[in-house]
Amino acid sequence: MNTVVAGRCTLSATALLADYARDRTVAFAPHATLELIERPVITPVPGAAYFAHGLLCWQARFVPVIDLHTLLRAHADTALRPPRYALVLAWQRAAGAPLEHGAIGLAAPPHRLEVRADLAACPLPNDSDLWPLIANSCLRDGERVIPIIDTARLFDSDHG
Amino acid sequence: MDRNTMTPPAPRRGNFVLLRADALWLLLPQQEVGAVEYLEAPPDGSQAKPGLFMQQRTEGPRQLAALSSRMTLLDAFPADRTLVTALRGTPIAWCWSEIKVLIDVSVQPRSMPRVLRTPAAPVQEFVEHDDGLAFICDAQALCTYAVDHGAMTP
Repeated sequence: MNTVVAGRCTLSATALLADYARDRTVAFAPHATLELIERPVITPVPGAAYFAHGLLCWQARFVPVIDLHTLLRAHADTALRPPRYALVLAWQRAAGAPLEHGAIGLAAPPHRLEVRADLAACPLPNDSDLWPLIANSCLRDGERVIPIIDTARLFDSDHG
Repeated sequence: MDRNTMTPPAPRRGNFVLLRADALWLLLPQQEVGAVEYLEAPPDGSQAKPGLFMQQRTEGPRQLAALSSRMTLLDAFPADRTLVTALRGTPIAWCWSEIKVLIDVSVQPRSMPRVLRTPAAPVQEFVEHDDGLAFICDAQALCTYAVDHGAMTP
């Protein structure tokens, strides 16, 4: 979002923050976030990737739902519990290509962050080898490190 | 066009059988599914190995199996699995909650989204079915996956 103030242009932007685990947050571009579904009905997929919740029927199509925390830890719990929320995200294979969709499971609704000038870019966390594969960049907000997720790289890859 | 792969899977026409185990719906070619029997009484609980229940019959004993919604064997036999079929090439009698035979129908497969796929998955495609979906599967892949993944509590 660009804001014009008294004849001068002040650039500001917002990001949508999602807590994928306790004290762990990622950001998405608002235009990539489409809908938050409470208590989603998800069909498990036999033999799917270890971080998969399954398939969600959304707007007459089936979209994959994944658990970001399990993906980043690179190992599965014995059985993933159904998430309280599913955040539907959009992505494109290339500029001009049709929109495609995926979702992540969340325990709490996402919230907005105004990306202020005092938020500094910082290196990606080093707690998972996958960060460089799914995140474009990273912000620091006080003590909080917030990777910014590239939804195309998140959903159009074989992470298994 | 399939939204997940950009490759439109070809429609398939023929005779199919829909098999339900809990919330799991599977779609198999009819020629892979044997005649349906009604299970008069659940197996007595003795298991050849976890998830494979022995049934004594006049024709001789056989192994029964019941799948979970994740296509793994259940170690407790569910009361609603009253329909039994053989599946071609498998040594087990499989128990289902519901069976539907579809004669001369065209189905439109959809590819599994790339992020969910694994090389060992027994299902790579699905079809829309009523308000949900059914996974396209073949009997051998079903049996191999279920037996390899052992038994679990419902």
